Order: sequence, then C-alpha cells, then structure tokens
Amino acid sequence: MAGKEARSLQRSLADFLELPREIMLNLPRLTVVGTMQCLLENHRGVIEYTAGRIRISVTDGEIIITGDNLVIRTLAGEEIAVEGKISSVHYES
Amino acid sequence: MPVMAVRRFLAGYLVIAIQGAAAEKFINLACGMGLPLWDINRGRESAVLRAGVDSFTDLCRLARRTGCRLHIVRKAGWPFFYSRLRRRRGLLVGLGLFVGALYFLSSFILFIRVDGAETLGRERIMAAAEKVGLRPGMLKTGLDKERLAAALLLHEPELAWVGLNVRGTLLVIEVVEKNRPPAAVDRPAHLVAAKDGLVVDVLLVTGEARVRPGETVKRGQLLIEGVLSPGTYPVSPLPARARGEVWARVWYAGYGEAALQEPVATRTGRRAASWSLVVDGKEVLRVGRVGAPFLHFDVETGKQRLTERIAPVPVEIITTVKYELLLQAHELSFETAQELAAERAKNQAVLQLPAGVEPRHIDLQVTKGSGELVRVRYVLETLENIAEIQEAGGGGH
Repeated sequence: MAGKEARSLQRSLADFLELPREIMLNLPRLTVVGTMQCLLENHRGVIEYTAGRIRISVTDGEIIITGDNLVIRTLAGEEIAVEGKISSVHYES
Repeated sequence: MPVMAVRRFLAGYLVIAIQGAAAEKFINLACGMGLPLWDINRGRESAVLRAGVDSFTDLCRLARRTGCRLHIVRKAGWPFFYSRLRRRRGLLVGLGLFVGALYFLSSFILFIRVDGAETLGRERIMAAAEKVGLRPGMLKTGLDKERLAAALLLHEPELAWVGLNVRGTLLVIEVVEKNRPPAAVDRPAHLVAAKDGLVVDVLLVTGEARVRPGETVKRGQLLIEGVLSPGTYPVSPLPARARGEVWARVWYAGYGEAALQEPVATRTGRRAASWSLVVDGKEVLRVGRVGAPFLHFDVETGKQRLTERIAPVPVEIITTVKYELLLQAHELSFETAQELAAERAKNQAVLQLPAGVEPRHIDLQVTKGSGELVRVRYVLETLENIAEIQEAGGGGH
C-alpha cells in the first residue's frame, strides 16, 4: 500500500511540475518505427532472446516483442534498439 | 549512426560468438557493467555480437561467471587492418607502386578525342594535331593550350575555332569548322546601285548597261541588266549574270553644331569608389556607396576575374569609380565654335564612310544659326564602285 501511495504522490508531483512522467515514475518509453525498429528506453535487462521473440524486463512488468530476424542493434545503458520484421509489441504487467 | 560506425572502425572491434544457455544473463551483465554491445544476432545455438576491443577481458570474465563459451569470430577495424598491412610488406609496396603508377600515368595525355569535326573528319584533325605536337603520350605539364590551339588553327585553314580541354588523361579537341558560303553559281543576276550617286564611269563585262556617265542614280536602281542580246538574230534576249563596275561619286553628309557658350566638364578630383563581388553574373557583395554623391560625374569601371580556371563559375570583382565633374560655361569665339561643330560633323560623316574608301573632296557648309549656335554641314565625296549583285527574281529594282 505504501508503494502505491508513493507512486500516486510521484505522479501528482510530476503533473504539478510538468515533468515527463517516465522520468519521475521510472517507466519505460517505447518508440516503434513502422514494423522495422523498436527503441526502448529505461529497461531492466533482457529476459529472453531468440530470433523470433525478445522479452525485455521493465518496471512493473515486461515488454514482449515478436517478429522475424530480430536483432539487438544497440544495447547501451538503459536503451535497447531492436530491428527486424516486428509483428507485435506486447506489454505484460 | 555513421559517426558511431566510423568511431568503432577506427578504435577496432571484435565479433564474438557466445554459446551457452545463459546468453541473456551474459548480455544483461555486460550491459550493467557499461560494456557497449551492438549488432546482437541470435542464432540457434549461439549469439553473435560485436564489442569494443577494450571490453574483451571483462567479457571473458563474464563468460566464465555465466558458464558461457566465448570465442572471437573476427577482428575488425583499423588497428587490425593496419597490423595485417604491416605484416604484408609486399602488399604495401604493391599498393604504393599502384598509386605511384596511377599518379605517373595520370600526368600524361593518353587519349585524344575530337569534337565538332563534321565535314573535315577526325583523321584530318588528328593529323593536323600531330603536326603541331599534340599526340597521345605527351606530358600534361607544360601543355600550352592557347598556343597549341592557335597553332592548330593556323595549320588547318578550314577551322574557324579550336579549343583544347584536358579531362584527366583525355584531351578533347573541340573544333568549329568554317562555314563557307556556297560557291557563286552562274545564275542570272543584275547589277543594281548599292547607294545613291552620280555615275562617272561604267565598265561593262557582261550584260547591258542601263545607265550612262553623268546620270544620277538612286539606291536599288538597275545599273547593268543581266541579259545577252544575240545581236541581229530575232530571238528574245537570254538571261545572264551581269558583270561589270559602275563608278560613281557618292556623298556622305554629317551635321554638327556648337554653341558659342559651351559647357566644359573638368574633374574636380573628388571621387567615390565601390567594389562588387560578382559570382556567376550575380552580385553577392558590395562595398562602398551605391548612389553617386555628386551632381555631375563620369564613371570608370574595371573588371578583374578571380579564380580563373579554378572555380566552375566566373568570380569577378567589379570596381566602379565615380569622378565628380565641374561644368563651367566656356565662352568660345566664332572660329573655335566653328571648329568644334566641324569636328562633330566630320565625326558623323566619317562614321558613314565605308572601310578602305578615301574621300576625294570635302565640302564644309557653315551657317550661323539663330541664337548662339554655329551649324556645320560636312560633306565627304568619294568615288566608289556602287554596283551590287541582285539575284534575278530577288525583288524589283
């Protein structure tokens, strides 16, 4: 319960100060370019990686990218760029 | 991204294959340690990735910790390329020789192309070019294009213009052939007067004279008709090409006037200059005043071309200098005014004079006009052949 209250407070503060929520709440930010590129910021690591499916851990859950010939183009710090033929991006909490 | 790729190439990188069940753990730990990984490809049994050379020791340690097997597939980038190159002296020497040979050979004219030879033929131009010293294998340095073009022009009289262009090892000889008028055919034609005049002499070669000495003729009037009368035979005259000369006195008049009070302009010594930088006909920069700060002035412009033959577009500096003029009324005597008017009238008359014709007689008519003006009529008299060919059917006469 304490965690939920803290989170609610953080959200209110972010709204009040007009700060980006993903920074205040430590949330992932996902940018998808067509079906060929997917850029995920603020991730927590790769859980599973095959050429057809990548599971990436994020705060409060995981993001599952499926497709063909998936390649991790860059992996640096908290940013991961996936390229290939993306067929779905799924969020699981 | 290309910047990153260049940086990675210059620093050198390794293509590494990781085998083992915990490849994801390996990647996450490497990421956590701040070791940059890129282009991670997952195969069936292994993951292939690229990493910087510096991070290899850390990656080996990580592989041991995660129970993965790691091996280098390929070493890429400039440091590895350079070390391979250093070991292969022969390749280096060969590369040097190749570049040297390329440079050496590019200092020669290896090919010659002729553009614009339509009727003369390439072989004829090439033969003429060879005679003036243009041949494949000559050195590009010391190739005096202007002198050689002039020499080629002198050598081949059928050419009107020659331009030489060097493009790499190719020399392009651009030529423009002379466009000669078609040879005069023996078609029937008359001789008509090219200008007004008083006929002095008629020299008939072919045809029938239609004017006699002492007659005045108007421009376009028929002088010698292009016909041959077959004497006493009762047939109609045959058309022919008229030949002959008709000499006549021709007058050219010029008019000039001068006031007894003439304004005389003298430069005061004050001047205003401006400079413009013109690129490809467009002014891009101007330094100095645009308008003239003087009431009366004359202008001198100078042009200087910069970067001749370097820039593809002409770059010029145009200097404009405006000199202030002081206009003063200058009292002239009647004689001086007459001389001035006569000079002006003469200039006007002389301008009309055909080239190479000398006046035989000069007539000066001076009239004192109303007010303060002296008027002069300057008449030049010449003796000229005024006969001009007119093709039959080419208009009336």
